[in-house]
Amino acid sequence: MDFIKDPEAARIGIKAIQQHLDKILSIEGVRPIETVGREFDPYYQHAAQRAHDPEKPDGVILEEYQRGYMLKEKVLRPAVVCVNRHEVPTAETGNDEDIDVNSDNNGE
Amino acid sequence: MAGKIVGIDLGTTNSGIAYMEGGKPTIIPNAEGKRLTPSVVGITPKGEIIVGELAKRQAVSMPERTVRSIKRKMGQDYKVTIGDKDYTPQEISAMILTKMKRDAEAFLGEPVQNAVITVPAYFNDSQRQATRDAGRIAGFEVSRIVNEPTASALAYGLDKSKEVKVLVYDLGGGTFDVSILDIGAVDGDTVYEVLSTSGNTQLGGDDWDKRIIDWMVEEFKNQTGVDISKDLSAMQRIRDAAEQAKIELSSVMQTNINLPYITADESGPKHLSLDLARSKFEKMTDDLVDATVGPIRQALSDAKLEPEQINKILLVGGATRMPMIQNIIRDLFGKEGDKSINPDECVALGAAAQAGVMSGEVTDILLLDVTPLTLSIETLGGVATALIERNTTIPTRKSKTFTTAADGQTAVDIHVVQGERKMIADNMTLGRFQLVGIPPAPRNTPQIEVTFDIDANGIVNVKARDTATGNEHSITITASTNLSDHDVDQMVKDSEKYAEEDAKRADEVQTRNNADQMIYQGEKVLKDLGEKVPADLKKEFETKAAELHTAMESDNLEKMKSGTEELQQIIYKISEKVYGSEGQGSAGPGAAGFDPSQMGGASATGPTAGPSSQEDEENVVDVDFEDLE
Repeated sequence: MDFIKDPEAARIGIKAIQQHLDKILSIEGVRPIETVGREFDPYYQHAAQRAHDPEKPDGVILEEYQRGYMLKEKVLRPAVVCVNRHEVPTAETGNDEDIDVNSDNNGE
Repeated sequence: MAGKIVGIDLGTTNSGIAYMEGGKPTIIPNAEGKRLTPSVVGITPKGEIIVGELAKRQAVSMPERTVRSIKRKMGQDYKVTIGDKDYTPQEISAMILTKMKRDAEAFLGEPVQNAVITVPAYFNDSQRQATRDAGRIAGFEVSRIVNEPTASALAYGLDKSKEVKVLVYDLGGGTFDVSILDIGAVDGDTVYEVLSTSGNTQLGGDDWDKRIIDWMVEEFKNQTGVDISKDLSAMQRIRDAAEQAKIELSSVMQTNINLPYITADESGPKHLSLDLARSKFEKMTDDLVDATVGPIRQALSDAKLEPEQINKILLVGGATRMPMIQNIIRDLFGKEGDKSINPDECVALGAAAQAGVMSGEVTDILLLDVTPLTLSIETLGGVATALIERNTTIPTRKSKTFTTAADGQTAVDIHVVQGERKMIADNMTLGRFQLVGIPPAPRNTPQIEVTFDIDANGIVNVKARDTATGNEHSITITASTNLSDHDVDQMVKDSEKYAEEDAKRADEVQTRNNADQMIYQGEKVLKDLGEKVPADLKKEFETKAAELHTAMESDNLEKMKSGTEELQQIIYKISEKVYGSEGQGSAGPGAAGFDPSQMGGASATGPTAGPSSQEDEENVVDVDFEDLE
C-alpha cells in the first residue's frame, strides 16, 4: 500500500489493526489503567511529576505520560502520571541529601 | 529449630532476602517478582504502609510521605514525621522487614519466624541494637546480627576450605566497608575469622549519583539559566536519570541523558539533554574513589598485612560494578577483584548461609567475628580506659579492677563508651549505671572489678562488682537511642509515645557538655604539649574556642555543634602533628600509660571524672557520690 498516495487508507488500516489488537488483548484480560481524573494510587500509577491546581481535588491525576496496563488483576506496567497536590508541607527523608527537606508546595 | 531461617540484607538503598534451598543459598523474590526490594517506605494519606517499588512510585507525588535511606539514621535519636505521627528509624526499618517477611512467607508457603540480619561492620552497638529491634518489631526472632562483609565471605567461601586472607570491598548505596578475613581450616571445619574492619558510614554509590546530579543541575543552569534544584519533581527525575547514567557508564564509554519537559518557564517548556563520558564521570568522582583507599590501608595495617599478602579481594555492592573501582583495586593489590557472585545479592546470600549454619543445615563453618570499636569506661579526668580493644574476636570477656577517687566514696558511676578517642566526651556513650553500697574507706582502697562481656551478636553486657562485699550490678547495653523490651512491645502495639521535650533537652545538654569538654580537652592538650604545638594551630584553636564560647553563651545550639566539630578537627590536627604516627596511642599526658589496677586517683568511673570539667547543673552524674547513701 502506498501511504504517501493515500494516507487516509493507511490511517484506517492501522486503526483497524489497532482495534483488532485491542480486542485480542481484552479477551486475554489486558486492559489499560485508568488515570486522568482518578485518585493517584501507587499500586497502579507511577508519579513522575507533581503539579498544583487548586481547582481540582488534592491527589488526583492530572495528566498521563505513559499508559499503564493490567493483566487481569496484575499490573503489567504502571501508568506514568502527573499528580495534583495542593500543598506539600515538608519532605521527609532518612537521607539529608536525598530529598530536599525544606520544600514548599511545588506548584508550577 | 522450627521453620526456616532467612538471611536478610537490610540495605541503605535496597534490601534482599535469601534462604537455604537444598544446601544452597537462594534469593527469595518479592511479591513484585524482583530479587531486590528498594529500602523505601511510604505511608499513604489513608495510613496504608507501602514498601519498596510502590513507595518509590509515590515518592514524587508525596515526598513528605516517603522515606529513603533510613538506615543512615539507625541508632540515632531521630524521628520521621509523616502526617501527624512520628516514627523511629527502627519502625521504618521494621516496615521494610515486614514486607520482606510477608513476601517470603508467601513464596515459601510457610511462616518464617527466624532471621539473620546483616549490618555494616562499622555499625556500633546502638546501631546493631536498633537493627535487632527493627527485626523484633517486624515479628522476627533475630537469630543473629552478622557483619555484611562477613556474610559476603560466607557467600563466596561456602565450599572453599584452604587457608586464605580475603579482603571484602563493599561499596553499597550508602555505606562503605572494608574487612579482612582469614579463612582457614581447623579440624576439617572451615573457620572464618575477621581480622580487621574499617570503612565509612557516609560513603556509598549514592555519592556518585549525587555528583552526576550536581553536574546536571549546573549544566542545565548554564544552558537555560533555570535553577531546578528546588523543583522536587524535576529533581526526582534527575535523580533517577543520574543513577541510570552511572549504571550505563559501567558498560559504555559515553551516555546521553535525555529528560524532555524537565521544567518550564515563561518562554515555554525546557528539556535537558546532556552527554556524559566515562572519563568525565571518573574525573568528577576520583576523590570518592580515593576516599575508599584510606579505610583499605587502615584495615590492612590493623590486620598487620601487606597488600600482597591478600589472596583474594571480593567486590560487593552494586557500585563495585564501576570500572573505576575495579581499577583502583588492581592498582592497590596487583590483582583483579572477584565479582563472580552478583554484588547486589552477595550479602543476603551470605546471611542465608549463616542462617543455614544456625539451623544446622550447614555444619562445617564456625564464624568468628570482631568488635568494630574499642569499649571503654570513664576514669578520672574524663579519660576513656579501654577494656576491650577494637577488632577483638568475639565472643569475648575482659575484666579490670578499679578503685575509688575520693575518701569515703560509697558509690561509683560506671560510664561505658564505645570509640577510639582518648577522652570520654569524644566517644559514644553506650550506657551508665551506678554501683552503690561500697563501705566507706579511704580512696584507692575499695576494689571494683568491672567485667565486659560481648556475645556472638556483639551485644555488650557490663558488670561491676565490689570485691569486698560481693555487691554487684550489671547492665546489658542499650544506649539512650535504643529501645528497651518494653519500648519495643509498645511499638508493636503501635502506641509508642516519645517525650519530645525530654529528648530535645537532653540533646541541648549533651551539646553544651560536648562543647565544654572539647574546649577543656583542647586547652589541656595545648597546655600539656606546650611548645610542641605549632603556633598557627594554637592560634586557630584559640579563635575557634572563643567562638564556641560565644555560641554557648548565646545558647546557639547549631553553632555549638558545628563549633565543637571544628574544634575537634583542630585538636586532631594538633595531635597528628605532635604525635605523628603514634596516633591514638598516647593521650593527654594525664592518662598516658596508666594502669587502672593501681590507679592513684583514677576511679572506676567518673565520680570525679568527665563531669569535673563541666559546671553544667544539668549534669546529673556529678562529682561526689559520697553522699549518695
